[in-house]
Amino acid sequence: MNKASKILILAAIAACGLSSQAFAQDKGCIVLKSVAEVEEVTVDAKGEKSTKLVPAAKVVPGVEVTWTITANNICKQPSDKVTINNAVPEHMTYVANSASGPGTDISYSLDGKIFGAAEQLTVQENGAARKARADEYRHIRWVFKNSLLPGTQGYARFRAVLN
Amino acid sequence: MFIKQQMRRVRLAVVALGLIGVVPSAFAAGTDTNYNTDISNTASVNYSVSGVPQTVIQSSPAGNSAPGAGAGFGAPTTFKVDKKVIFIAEETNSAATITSPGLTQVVTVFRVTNTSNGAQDFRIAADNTQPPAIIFSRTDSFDMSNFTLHISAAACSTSTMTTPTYAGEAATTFIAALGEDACKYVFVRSDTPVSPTAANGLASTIRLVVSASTTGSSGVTLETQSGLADNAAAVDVVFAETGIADGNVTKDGVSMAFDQYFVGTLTVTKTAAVISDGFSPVGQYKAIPGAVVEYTISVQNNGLVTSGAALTEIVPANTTYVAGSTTLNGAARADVAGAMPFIGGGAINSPAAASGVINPGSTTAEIAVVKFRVTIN
Repeated sequence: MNKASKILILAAIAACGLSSQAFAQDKGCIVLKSVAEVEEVTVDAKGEKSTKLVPAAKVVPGVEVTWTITANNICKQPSDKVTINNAVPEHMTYVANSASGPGTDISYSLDGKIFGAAEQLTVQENGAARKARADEYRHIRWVFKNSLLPGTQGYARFRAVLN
Repeated sequence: MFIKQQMRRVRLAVVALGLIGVVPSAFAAGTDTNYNTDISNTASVNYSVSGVPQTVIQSSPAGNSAPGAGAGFGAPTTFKVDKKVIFIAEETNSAATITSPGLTQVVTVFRVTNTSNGAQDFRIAADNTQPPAIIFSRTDSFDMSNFTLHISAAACSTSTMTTPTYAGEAATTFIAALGEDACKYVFVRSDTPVSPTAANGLASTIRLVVSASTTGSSGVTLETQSGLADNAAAVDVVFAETGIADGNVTKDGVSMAFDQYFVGTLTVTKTAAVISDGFSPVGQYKAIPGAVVEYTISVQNNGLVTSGAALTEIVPANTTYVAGSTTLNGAARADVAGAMPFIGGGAINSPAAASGVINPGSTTAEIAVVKFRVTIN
């Protein structure tokens, strides 16, 4: 299993190298940042509740963590076909309908190979296909519909609960 | 562990490339992620510039623009799983432990179950503190003393409660590294005061206090809940117990349970019945001179198995013992020196039990019954 995976990766790296035009480049056009945060509910003097995101604190099983991935275009040209991929971290379970990203098409995958919209994913169980549940999604992909213009930022976000 | 780490590395690499790969599905559900586990996440972005596909870029917590896939490119965004402390102390058999006045090192049993997300140490202690409401329908009447605690060597199941027997386990004050979803039986031993402080029918309720303590501190240092600020690189402690029975407070890192000692001794009942008077019809016998009276002495054990139980009886004044009329549990008991055999004290027992042994219980198989007859002078 382990060995097989390694071989796959090597193959993948080779494939990547072939298609890549800028493999040895020091700096790409996008600064990609991933941040883990949790929601903190505060009640102000008027008794009104407000929610803000604070760095992931006191994360114990059952706590939801918000992952935010930001992509900044630092080049002078637009970046096209921007696609962010993120696996749901090990020991975590994706929270249904939590993935968001302005101007993106979001798709999911169970195995990292086949991506599809939520309603398209199926799981084989007892010889029959059934619709996949959100807690079975292990990968999320955001495809930006428009180019990321120089100096602008796109972001993708999802929540996952610690098992 | 080694394999797991390897797998994680492999998986991250595959994901980062955004290409095909065999990815294990979600890890075993139902078990909480252990504290001190690092949760890592790396996103990746693919894009094109002027129609030319660019090398993938992996994320970092502060932002990364250096292209490249796999380890060494970008950095995973990581936090440590904190410790969610949940556990419960329980009394095992929903019944009092029978004791006797002056009886020492009487054992009662509790169970401590850890459902924290990882192994946890606990301090254990016992005392005479009372619950908010009485237990087993009996008010606390006296204090036990000289508490010692012992961890049972018996297997413990979190699903099926049993009450193991004390087997000489050494005294201790802590439970070290109780595993996740594991339990231990704890024996509390204590001494019963002598009579009349402890008397038949009185009860003493005692408490077991279990407190989360830091790993390896032998129960000396209690866990403290971390303040507001989180250290993403350290394991913080969050108290999460929810039990409120018997005065327990939620989320305080302490669970207490109560048990009871109940003093049971022998009760002696003596009845008399006229069984003939020489004149009246059956059922209407009167206690007139010459009438035969049968005494029945019943000894019931409400406590522990006895040994050396002995009965001393007298023949009432103004009556004359009927020679050879004494029975124990229906069997004739020979007179002693021509007199009623219990005048000088004699051993009694439950039917089918050894001499001096009265088994606890209220049935005819356990109650010792002595009968003898006299005539009224």
